[in-house]
Amino acid sequence: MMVMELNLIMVSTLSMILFVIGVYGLVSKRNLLRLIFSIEIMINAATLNFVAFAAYLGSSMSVAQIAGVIIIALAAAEAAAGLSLILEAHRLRKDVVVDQLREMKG
Amino acid sequence: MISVIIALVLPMVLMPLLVLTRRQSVLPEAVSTSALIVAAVLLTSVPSGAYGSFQVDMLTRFFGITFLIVSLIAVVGTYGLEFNGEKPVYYSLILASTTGMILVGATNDMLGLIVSWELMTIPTYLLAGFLKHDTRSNEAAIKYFLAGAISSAMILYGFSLVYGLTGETRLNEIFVKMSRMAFALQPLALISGLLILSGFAVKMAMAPFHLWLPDTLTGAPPTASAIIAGGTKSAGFAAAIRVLILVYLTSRVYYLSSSWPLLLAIMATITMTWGNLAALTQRNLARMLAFSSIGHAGYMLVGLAVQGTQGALLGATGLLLHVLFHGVMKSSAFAGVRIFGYSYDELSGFGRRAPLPSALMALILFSLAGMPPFAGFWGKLYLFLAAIQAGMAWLALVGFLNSALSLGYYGYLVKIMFMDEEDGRTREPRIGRGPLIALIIGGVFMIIAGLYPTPVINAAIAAAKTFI
Amino acid sequence: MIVSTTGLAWIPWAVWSLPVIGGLLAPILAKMGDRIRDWGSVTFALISALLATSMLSWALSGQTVHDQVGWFMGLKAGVLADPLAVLVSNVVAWVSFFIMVYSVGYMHGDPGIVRYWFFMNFFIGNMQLIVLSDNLFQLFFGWEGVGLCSYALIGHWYTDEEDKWVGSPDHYVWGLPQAYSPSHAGMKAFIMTRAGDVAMLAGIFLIFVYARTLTFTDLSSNITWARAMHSSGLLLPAFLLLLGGAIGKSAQFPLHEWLPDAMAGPTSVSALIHAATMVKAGVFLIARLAPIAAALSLLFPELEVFFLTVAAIGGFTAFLAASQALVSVELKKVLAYSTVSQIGYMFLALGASGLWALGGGITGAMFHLLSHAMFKAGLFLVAGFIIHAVESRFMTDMGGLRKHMPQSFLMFLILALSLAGLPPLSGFWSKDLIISVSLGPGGVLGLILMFSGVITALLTAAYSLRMVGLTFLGKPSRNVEHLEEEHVLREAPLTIRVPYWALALGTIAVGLAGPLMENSIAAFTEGYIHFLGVGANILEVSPSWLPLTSSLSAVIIGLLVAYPFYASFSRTTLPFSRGISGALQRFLWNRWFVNALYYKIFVIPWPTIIRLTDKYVEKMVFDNINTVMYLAATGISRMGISFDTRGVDGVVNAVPEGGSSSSNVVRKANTGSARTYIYSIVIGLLSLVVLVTAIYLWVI
Repeated sequence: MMVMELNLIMVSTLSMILFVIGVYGLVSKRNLLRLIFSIEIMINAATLNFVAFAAYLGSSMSVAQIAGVIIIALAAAEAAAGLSLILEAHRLRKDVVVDQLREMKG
Repeated sequence: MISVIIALVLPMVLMPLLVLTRRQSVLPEAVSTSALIVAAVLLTSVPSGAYGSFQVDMLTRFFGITFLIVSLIAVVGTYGLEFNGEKPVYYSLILASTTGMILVGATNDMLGLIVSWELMTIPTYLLAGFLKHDTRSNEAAIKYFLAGAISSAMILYGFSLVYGLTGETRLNEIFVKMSRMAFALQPLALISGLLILSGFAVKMAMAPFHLWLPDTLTGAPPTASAIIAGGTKSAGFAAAIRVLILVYLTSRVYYLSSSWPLLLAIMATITMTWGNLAALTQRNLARMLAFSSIGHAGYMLVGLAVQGTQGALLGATGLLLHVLFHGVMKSSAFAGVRIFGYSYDELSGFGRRAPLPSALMALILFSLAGMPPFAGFWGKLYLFLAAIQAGMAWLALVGFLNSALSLGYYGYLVKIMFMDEEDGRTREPRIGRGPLIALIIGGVFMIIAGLYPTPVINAAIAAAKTFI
Repeated sequence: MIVSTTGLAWIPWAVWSLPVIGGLLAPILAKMGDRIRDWGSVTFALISALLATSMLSWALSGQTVHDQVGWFMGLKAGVLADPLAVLVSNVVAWVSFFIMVYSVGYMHGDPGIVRYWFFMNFFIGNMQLIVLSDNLFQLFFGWEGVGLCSYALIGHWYTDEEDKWVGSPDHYVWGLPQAYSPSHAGMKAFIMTRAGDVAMLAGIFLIFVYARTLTFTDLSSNITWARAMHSSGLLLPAFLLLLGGAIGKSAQFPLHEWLPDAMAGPTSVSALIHAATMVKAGVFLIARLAPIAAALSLLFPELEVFFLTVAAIGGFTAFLAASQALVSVELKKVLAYSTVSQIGYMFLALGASGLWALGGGITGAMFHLLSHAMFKAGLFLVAGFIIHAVESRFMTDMGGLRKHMPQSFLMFLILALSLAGLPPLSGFWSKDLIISVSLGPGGVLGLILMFSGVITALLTAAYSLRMVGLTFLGKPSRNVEHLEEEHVLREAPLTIRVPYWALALGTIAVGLAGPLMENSIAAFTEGYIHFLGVGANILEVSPSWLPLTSSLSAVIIGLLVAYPFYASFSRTTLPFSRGISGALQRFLWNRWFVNALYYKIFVIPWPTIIRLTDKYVEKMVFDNINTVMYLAATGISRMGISFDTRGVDGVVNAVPEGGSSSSNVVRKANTGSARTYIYSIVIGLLSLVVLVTAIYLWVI
């Protein structure tokens, strides 16, 4: 099977694009779940970076793998916490729109 | 180090099982309080050295003790709350977050920092949203979660860039490689630094990253606010000390060393001014404390801004002192919210109905304002002295003016409590024993450390010398 | 000679800490009964006073007790009981003891009595801390402590009933009311003295940065710090900044306007804090610095400007305040103006001390401090009783009270004549010394300074007699006639009478022993200068006939001019007469317009500024930022929405809601604050990048 040659610039550009997409989602979306997705995309950009740099540097691949696994696990934990809060928000407000959270301000 | 973690994690894991039992009595309170005290004792006796991704030195101990005191005050302040039988979970989450904070203060590795950062943060999301049927609590938690998750993402991306630039995760190694970095790569190092700073800034409540904080602290249960304002915020500074100072402020990267002190000084100015100005017209106790917390973040940023200059040691000492004092003051003040309630309208003449708590609260407020002879004064003194020493006298002046400004809103509350007449809306004092003890711990600490600060200052200097 | 009598070093510590402890115990004493509460608090003041007296033996034998303990950062806390401190400490201790006794009767039945005792004792402790501390920083602690007590006690009657106000209700200057509530007066005092304190703190900071110590003995024994400061041009500014603190606390021009309005507090407070002790803290500070500064001025002549400033401020303030006392219609305000004026004398003497007569100047200031503390406190105590008796603070509601309260009249007369400077009362000797010191070796400067003292002496004599005349002599006012009909005017009770008896007899005794007293204070001063001086060698002035005769004749002229107007028949100052004298009268009555000017500049604009900030910055800028950010974000997102609304939203909303709310997402278009928080983080990151780039470019 032919493997496309991926160079570092391409991968890190991809990760940067992912990060920017995440930021775009954060500022444009109103649904809480999609905000969480956006954040996950940003985190995955970081994971991709780790793995890509490790492959490029060649030396300490294991560290990058550990980092990747840890980050995935942490992102899952974070998403779990966030989702539980959103579930609660839905139970209280019948909706998960970020604009509804305006009780406290000033 | 393992022993400290076990002392905290074991009760943290086992305590939620108590939810299954019908009658919990005071077991969770007793267990979590004693776990914190045992951990503090163990932490002082752990020998120095590296333990995997973490290391024990004076800085670890200083931050560890700070976080343990803050959590202890929060735990004590929670006494008497039942939370629909889910009380053990609440205490368990506090212990989990505390473990994370201590590890943040002890980290010497990026991966270790990431893990402990999340261990500290995630429980606090749940603590903030613990009152499930309270829309405000839920709103507070979600706002906090959004800000916190974005901060995590930015930190992770920043770290991934640092890893790509240096191929290392150990902070010491990163420092060495950073100092020898090719000129062409330095802008990228700068970007990574800014990403990490932004991530920490959310937790530190640096303007303009701070907007989530007042809402979260207002809606969350008071003692969860105590953990967030007194603990995780301080942990943000701990992480900043471990990472930013080592990797960015003291490394000899031209791009960095030439611009960071001024950048941080400007951010400090904006932060303290914004926080104090916003606090000036608050009539909600928790919001006022939250904005005051932002103002204090500005003072602490002065301590970061002077790193790499003449005033580094003074600034680091002041930063550590202020982290400790601010943590203690804020956590006991937030525990006091259980006695005082939120609205100023209910507090006119409250000083006559509940003299002891009000006097203690007034004392803590004056200490927050930095009035001698209370402890809050010393942190500010060192920070402003450091600014002068670093050749940024204007920053000391700004801080001084801000302190004067802050006296306005602290004094306003004291005036309402003691000078105004009681009226129909004044609260009935329902003094829980827990929050009162928390206030007493905070007040006594402020007086003793204010009148005889030498031991604390010496400890802070010793801790500061580990990274200067 | 320094004696490290470690066995006795506890005495100065106890002198200042005992009243503080007494203050803290006041709430507990209050639980044990009314008598214990009152007399218990007095007891703490008494013990402190007795201990202070025991320190006199050291001063008399020329010893100094200096005790230090480590504090922080290399700074040491300590007490320094040198002759100067012992002298002032005794004045403070005994005057405050008598006022505490008076308070037992005067404040009887006041609802805020516990607060009152707390702050009074706390005040005494902090004042003794100022006097006895051996370094500037510890002194500053006490300095702030007395400021806090002053603020709290001026506003003691914080409920602001109309009869507790100060000033004439119908008096307006430039449309600004000149009558103030106790809370307002307290805040005014707080803010004005704070202005001085900021300067003082800055001065202390400067000295600390260079000297690395703030202990007086270290500052005088090793003057390398002064050399360094001189070479960077900061020596004179540092001293002038310290002077700022002193003029704020001692109510000297231009920070003098708070003291007259501070009279809104209880009279016992005015007597203790705003006449006898706290306002002397500035005098004490300058006296503390004078030997060091004088010695330094030999090396660095620029410091003569410092002393010249002190003397000029003192001389001008003395005249300024005395002229206003001439037209005031409130009894306590006359006394307040008089206090400002008499402190001006002390500043005059201290200024002269550095210019030509170190020993004489400090002696004069300290002697006048002592005699002024006695007669002014006594005058206030009598005034407090009279105001209480006639239920009005205006002298126009008094008059003819002599026959109802003969003892009070006699004491008031003695004390007022002492204030006027009539021999052989104490005020004569101290004022005469100051006037002769201010002349110095002669010359234009000396003559100007002396003339300001002499003209003030004339005014002082006039307003003293006017004050006595309007209250005790002449025809009874309508108010007094009314009270006479009700038979409510009688002599003061014992606890009120004894203190001012004691103070009046004291002023006579000191007056009779005048030259003797002067010599012993001069001996004290000499011991102090030798102890602290840096080998200062400044020539003293020999007595001359000019000051004595001119001051004495000024006093007599003043008394003679005032007598027909006010003493022989009662006459109010209002309404104003016409012509030049009326204009002058109005000018003085309006406090030289300084007060109104301060309000115009510093107070009135604030509400406007706040309103404008609210209107433009808050409403326009922040709202618009929100709007702009919202529009920008929706603009970007609209492009995306059309693309993914149907597809992704359906799935997303299906999770919590079964897909029914997808339209909700699009419709809800109001800016929620949680969104703003997310924007703020992103914008924060971007602004950091921009900022760091800007700084980088700027640095290059």
